[in-house]
Amino acid sequence: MLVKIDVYAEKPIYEQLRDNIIIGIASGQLAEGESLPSARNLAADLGVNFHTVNKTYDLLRGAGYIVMDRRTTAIVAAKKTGNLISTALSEKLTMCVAEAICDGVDEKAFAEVCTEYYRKIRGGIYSD
Amino acid sequence: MTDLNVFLFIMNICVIMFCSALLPIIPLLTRKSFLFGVKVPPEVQNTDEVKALKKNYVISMIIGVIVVLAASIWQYVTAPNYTIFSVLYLPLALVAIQMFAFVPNHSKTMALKERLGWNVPEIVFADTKETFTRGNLSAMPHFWYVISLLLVLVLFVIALVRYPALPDSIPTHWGVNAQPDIWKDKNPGVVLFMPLFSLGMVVLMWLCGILIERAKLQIDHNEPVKSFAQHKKYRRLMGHGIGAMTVSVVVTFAITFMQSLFVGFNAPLLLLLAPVLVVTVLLCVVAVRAGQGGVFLKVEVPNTPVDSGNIAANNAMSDDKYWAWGLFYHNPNDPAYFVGNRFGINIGFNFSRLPVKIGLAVCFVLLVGTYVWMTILFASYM
Repeated sequence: MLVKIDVYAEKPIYEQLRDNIIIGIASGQLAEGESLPSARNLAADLGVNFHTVNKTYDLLRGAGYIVMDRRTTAIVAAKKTGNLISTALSEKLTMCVAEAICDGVDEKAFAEVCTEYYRKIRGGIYSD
Repeated sequence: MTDLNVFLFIMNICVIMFCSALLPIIPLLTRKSFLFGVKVPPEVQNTDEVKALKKNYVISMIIGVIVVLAASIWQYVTAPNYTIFSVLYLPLALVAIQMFAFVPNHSKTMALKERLGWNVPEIVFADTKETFTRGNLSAMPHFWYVISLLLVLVLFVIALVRYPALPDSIPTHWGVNAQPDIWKDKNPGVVLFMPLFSLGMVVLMWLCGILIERAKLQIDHNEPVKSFAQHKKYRRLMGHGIGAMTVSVVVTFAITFMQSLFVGFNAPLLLLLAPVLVVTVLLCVVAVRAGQGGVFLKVEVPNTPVDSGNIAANNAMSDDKYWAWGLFYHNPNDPAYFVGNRFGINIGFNFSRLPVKIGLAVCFVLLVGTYVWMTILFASYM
């Protein structure tokens, strides 16, 4: 998968990288068990600080999206099952819903958009 | 000495002519998103201001070449015996011309970028399947170096086998007419010098190969997939080019060495130069046709959806600040050691890295040392 970082975007680089990888996993571009480049190698290819990439890997590991093999190689973890909405996800959803309401998006339209995005990413046709 | 001076003078003129043909077209080979080492929007390349800068560069280049050419001729006419010094210092003069033509235009481009408010997004890419700048070297065409090392091994074996039968004095240097002009007393050091030198050369070329393999990619954000594919193809081409160059250099050394070991065997000059010449010409043609990082190469890539995400462009924060004079990359945040230069098709260094600093300091000391040593050596012959 190609990782794309906009160096001067408002969103911090470690967040962009995390989002890239999560979308990659969700859309199947990064398969379960696939190893990611080492933090140092990825940082070198992107031309960003090593600690930035390390921070992303820490976040992803904390969220259970990747596992560290022998503390060095990051490996894409198996997708979770059981329809469990995590606290972090719940917080983000709350904000999405709140903003949608403020923007005047009604319940039906919001649900439709959610379904559309879900299918797009699941189907692997999502492109940032 | 006279024949030698004529030869050196002609060589000098050839080098100047070759460079004066090659140097002015460098801006044409550089990718459209760079102008004199400054990141610019590709569409500004055809504006009048930019054309004026490019014209300025070519004129500076022509003036520089004329000055060097005149100096070279003046030196030959007034003091022909000093031609060897011209040969020695010509590369420095050519670097000076390049700087003379480049640096003012770089400053002007920086000013123009600010004045006209050119905004360039700073998008970087990486492939999770393959790392480049610090990746493994398994894809490098190692077989060229294996062939070269085998050749060097053969040289060592022949040298050791022939050693007892060698006469007391052996030729180690040949003049322009391919006749030996320097003879040395036989001892293991003299006989083994050539194989050892070849071995050093192979190692040096192999390091050059690694440099090409590890140089940072400059991915075009409009077509990242295509850009990656072009870079990979370009790398393969250049890797084979340097590999072929290594073999051709070793073959040349081997032929020369055979002249030392088998007295009476004199290879014609053309046979000696042919392998290196052929590979150099091929490499130049490929480099020019491929463009910087392979931007002119045709590659087959799957159709990927066109990116429509929001791209931030912040002129004030552009990474131009990491490029001193548009030539020297110094970014302490970037762990990469080697980067593709912004100007020309060669590879540069990340000057903020300690190993790079040490390596370049050693090279610099060696270079200055070589110059001082050569100058003293040649002066002692005067």
